[in-house]
Amino acid sequence: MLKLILKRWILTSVLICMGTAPVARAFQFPTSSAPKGPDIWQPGDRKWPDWLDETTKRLEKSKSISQPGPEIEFLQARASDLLERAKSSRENFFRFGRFIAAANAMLEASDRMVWLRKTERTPQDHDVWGAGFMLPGCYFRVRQAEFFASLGGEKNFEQYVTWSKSFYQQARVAFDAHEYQRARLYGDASSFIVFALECIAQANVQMPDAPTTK
Amino acid sequence: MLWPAPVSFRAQAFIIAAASLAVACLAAFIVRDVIFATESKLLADSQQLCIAASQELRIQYQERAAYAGDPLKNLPRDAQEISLMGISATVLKAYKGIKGGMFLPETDRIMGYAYPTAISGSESELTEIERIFIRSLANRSGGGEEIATKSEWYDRDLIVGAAVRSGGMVLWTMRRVPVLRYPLMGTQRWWLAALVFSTVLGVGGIITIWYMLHSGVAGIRHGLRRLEDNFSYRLPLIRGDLGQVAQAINRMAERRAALEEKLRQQDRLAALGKVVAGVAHEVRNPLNSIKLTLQLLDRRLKKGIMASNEVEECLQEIDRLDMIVGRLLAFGRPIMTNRHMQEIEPLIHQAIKMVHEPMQNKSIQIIVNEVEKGLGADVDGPQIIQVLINLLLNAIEAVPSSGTVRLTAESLGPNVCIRISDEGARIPDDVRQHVFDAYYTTKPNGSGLGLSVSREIVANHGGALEFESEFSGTTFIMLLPIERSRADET
Repeated sequence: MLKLILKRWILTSVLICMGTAPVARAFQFPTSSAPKGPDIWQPGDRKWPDWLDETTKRLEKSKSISQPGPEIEFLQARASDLLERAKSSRENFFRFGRFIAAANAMLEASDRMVWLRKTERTPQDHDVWGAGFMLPGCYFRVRQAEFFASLGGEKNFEQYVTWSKSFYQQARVAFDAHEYQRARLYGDASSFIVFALECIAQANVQMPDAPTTK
Repeated sequence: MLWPAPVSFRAQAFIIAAASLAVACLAAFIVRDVIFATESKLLADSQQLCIAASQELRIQYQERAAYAGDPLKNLPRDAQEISLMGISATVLKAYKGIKGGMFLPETDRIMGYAYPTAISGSESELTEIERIFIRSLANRSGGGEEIATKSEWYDRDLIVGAAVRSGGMVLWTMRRVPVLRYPLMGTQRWWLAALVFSTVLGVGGIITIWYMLHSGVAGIRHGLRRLEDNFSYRLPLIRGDLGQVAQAINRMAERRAALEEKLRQQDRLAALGKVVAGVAHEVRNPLNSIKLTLQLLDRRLKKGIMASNEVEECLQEIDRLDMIVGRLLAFGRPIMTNRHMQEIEPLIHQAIKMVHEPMQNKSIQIIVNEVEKGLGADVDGPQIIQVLINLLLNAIEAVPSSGTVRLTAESLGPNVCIRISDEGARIPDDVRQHVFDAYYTTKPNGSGLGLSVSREIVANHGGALEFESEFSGTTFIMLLPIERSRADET
């Protein structure tokens, strides 16, 4: 009896710890020394040829998978297009960096799709909290997709919005089926697509001067 | 206990005016309360919305930073704007009427401003006042988790805002609430003028209504009083509904006058008919008698027989015709009295003498029961004798043979009371009401003028002639004033 109680207590503790970690991550405050995103999204001080090579290699690697399916095909095609636009923007490092970041975001989404194929479709008890806290954020970003799409700069914006919504819907379905790992991967993919849209908008739209109080 | 309802127009008008004023004041208070209550609720709701929107803005901003790094890091300003606007526009789409964004105190910059529910493009722009408000709001927000709120009056709006700090960024929201009170206060003078004007108008109207009602009713009341005295009077013209009432009264009076005239005409015609019938009846008998006598005289003259009896009979009948015509004339013209103070007893005895012959014919006895000594009155002697004769003859005719007629005379207050009673049958009910009618008679040879003329004579003396006939016999009562009244003197 004591053994059973102890076993359950340990199991509960493990589950709580697993759930707390993503929550703590989600509520991280951005400060001056806030953790940066992946380097590939924000070019930083690196020279553009390095980014171009890395992204080109990554795209080629992504294209090597067999039976990609419509979603991966869309993501690869958009990544390829964005990479081309980055190449044509070499004279403007900011635009170049935004397109590189967008292309990489699409490749990240493509990677999630590939990983999804390898993930078992079995109900999972763990990671319910992580997926549960992540999905509202994904939903918010999917809502943002329409705003970024409305800013222009991408002729295929409707496809971006449609796929991001589709991935989010599939994430919800997976979450309802207790397939939390798949839910997170779908959620990530939808968020990457929106991020790509954001980067495209940033690269293309010339914003008016922001209002000041002075 | 009944409610003491005011009956005068003045009181009613006062109550109506007071009630109107009270209702106006009450309405003003209610409207004021409703405005303030609505305004307070609007402000509270707006503040709650701003707080909720600020909180959600912070959550999404932090999540965005946690997920993809600081959106301001290593990006030019325009790119930062897009990222931040993506957050605020998406969040505030769910909060109608609320605008918001971020404020970077280090550079004193408003960033990521969005007003996705703006109705017009001009509305979505930040005004100078709003920028000052945002700066003030941002300065109020502390470094912790607490949410700072602020509300300030600007122009005719109340600006409500909430702000919360996240790292070095202040996330703010605000809403402009159009204040209901200000438009009212702005047009307060007009409202006040309208209120005063309507109050004056109302009170003036009530006074006018009261005056019109009062004068109208007073006119009708005065007119009705005059109409009672003089039926030819007509109410004056009055305006309004009361004028219609006055006109209706006038029409009613005219109709009544016409009806009375018609009635009088009918009475005259009826009286004329009776007169004609009576005269025809009275005249026919002597004429027949004269005709027969003349026929007899004619036969005798043809036979050479001279007879004076027939001529005398003719003359008597002619006298009788003359008497009938004389009575007719006497009834038709006013009876002139030659009055002076005289004793009643001699008049009674003289009248009894005049009816001596019919008394003897029926063996009737007239008993004078009681006559006060020295009982006198201011009367026309011959006319009173005529009345007494009429009454005595009626009594003699009513009494069976060998009967008795009783006569008394006494003073009764200011009058002399003469009673003549017979022992005959009582007067039937259907006859009683016509006893004093002219030319109404139940006797075959009666003219129907005796009692009518008698009553006229007594009335001309200021007295009264009545009768009692309850069980058996009839008593005629004649009241004659002892002294002449002032009205009779004039």
